[in-house]
Amino acid sequence: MFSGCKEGMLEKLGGRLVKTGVRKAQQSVKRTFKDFSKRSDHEMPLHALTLRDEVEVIGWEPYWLLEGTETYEPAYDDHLYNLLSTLVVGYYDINPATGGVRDDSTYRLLRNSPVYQARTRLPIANENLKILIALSYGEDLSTAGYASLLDTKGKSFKNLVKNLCVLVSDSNVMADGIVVDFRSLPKGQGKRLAGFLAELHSYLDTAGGATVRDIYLCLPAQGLGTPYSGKEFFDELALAPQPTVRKFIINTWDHPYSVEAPYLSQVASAKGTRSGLDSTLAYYKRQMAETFPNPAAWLIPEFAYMGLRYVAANDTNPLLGERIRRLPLDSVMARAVADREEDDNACAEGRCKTNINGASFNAFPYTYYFENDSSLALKYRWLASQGIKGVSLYGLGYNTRDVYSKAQNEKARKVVKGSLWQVLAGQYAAVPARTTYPTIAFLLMFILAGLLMGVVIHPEVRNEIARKGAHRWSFRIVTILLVIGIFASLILTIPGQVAAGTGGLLAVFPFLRRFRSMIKR
Amino acid sequence: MKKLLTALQENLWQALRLLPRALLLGIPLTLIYILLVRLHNIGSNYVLDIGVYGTGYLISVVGVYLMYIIAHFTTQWYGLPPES
Repeated sequence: MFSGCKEGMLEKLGGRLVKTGVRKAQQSVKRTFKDFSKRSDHEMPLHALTLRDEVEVIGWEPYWLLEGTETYEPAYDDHLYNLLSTLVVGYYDINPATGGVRDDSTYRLLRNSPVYQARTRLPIANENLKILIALSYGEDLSTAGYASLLDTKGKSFKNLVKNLCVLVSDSNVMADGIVVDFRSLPKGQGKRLAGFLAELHSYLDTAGGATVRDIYLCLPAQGLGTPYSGKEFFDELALAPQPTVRKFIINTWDHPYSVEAPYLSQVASAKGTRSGLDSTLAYYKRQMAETFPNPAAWLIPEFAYMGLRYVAANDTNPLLGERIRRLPLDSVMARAVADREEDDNACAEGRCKTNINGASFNAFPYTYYFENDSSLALKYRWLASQGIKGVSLYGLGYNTRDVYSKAQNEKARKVVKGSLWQVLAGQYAAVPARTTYPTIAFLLMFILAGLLMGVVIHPEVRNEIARKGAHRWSFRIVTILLVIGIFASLILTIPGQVAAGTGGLLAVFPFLRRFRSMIKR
Repeated sequence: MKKLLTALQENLWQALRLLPRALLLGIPLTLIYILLVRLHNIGSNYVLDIGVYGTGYLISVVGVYLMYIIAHFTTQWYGLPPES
């Protein structure tokens, strides 16, 4: 023993070693159990999942998210296209006078963007991804502008169709159809829009070659002053010889955020109003009921992106959910100050931004909302409860834009980005059924049956059971209860079928001894 | 050697005789298997494709054989002649 070693030191060391060893052993046993009981769908990487057949998940990627700006860079390389069924690339912003695009550079971007390679880019490729080009009419919201836009006899319409055919058949684009996004169409234009859609559909169908082009239509949120899409519109649409519109995308993000339902904001109407998606959905279901059987199958609500949103409202409480801890508050404050300054400057120059009630944005304290995985999961679940099979995600690249610029907080950015796909997968992905434990339980049932059969098939045992059963009801009742108990525990004690099955096997052994003694007698 | 071959032949004949019964019993048993799988997957967006049904049927048929084999050995374990 060397001199530095005091009495009892070795014992202490030994004790510590034993303790460490025991702890390590405990940990490894725990880990083994954990691995063994891990749910297989949790282990599935997101890019290996696919969507369920009946579900339609639409992702929008407007052109400004394709080229990027100062605050964020394009994100389309990172989207999980395997969790999208449709990709909408926008916008072909129509100039009603010519039928061309308002800005030629947009057209070039739409035609040459690398986003269309999403079908083949591994490991997130989706060869069944449907690509649609969004058609919009952004600037002039007057009735006269729309009148010339919807005129299908004029030169501009022919030019529009020609341009669209070139665009959708381009070897880079290879689009499957068009999304018509005229959601600010004034009242009374529904009938003309139906005519426009039918004409557009017939042109695209014949000019585009063998594939049938789809047309999706954006419908406005209700209660916001532009209800062109009444019953007469759907009646007119239904008159077309073949279905013109494949799906209707309902605009949800125009619905106001509300203090009353922070998580279901935009979905649940505020008390006494019809400001939420619930009332809009009810409205469309009512209007479509006669002409489109099962309206829920035609409708897809469109939600805003994940991340920070703000509204100017007359309340002071910022509504931040409990899972908001990963939000970098510095960035939020910087953003808030910048917003306020921008709005104040705009007002000073006489270009005040106003909210839907006509009040100027900077008249109230700002309230910031953060759309995160919990709020989105709630909203998607609500949609499922309404019988709606799908969702449209506006601006996939926006996930990161508002709060997380590239320079800031790379880790938080990744978490927020990943969680959107996590929520989508949770609600809409087709998870392969977990079959390991049911299979083991099933095989245990056969072993059980085999053991019982091995002795019960003997005439001696059968006779004995019959003889005893004839005058001892308790024997029969106990046997029946035992069998029911074993089966019930096998089926109902999920996920403990295996334990229950093994328990069942053990419970049978005393009976086997009894049967054996019957045979020997 | 001859004994073994005879035993093998006999067992093969037994196994063949059991086949129609196993194939028929496999159908209702598959339904029980699917019920177990469904119950086990409650709460997730699981998909029951043809593969699960196929596996279920295969396991059911194999399970019937397993049941008969175990019954056979159980009787032997008790030192009784197998059922005639």
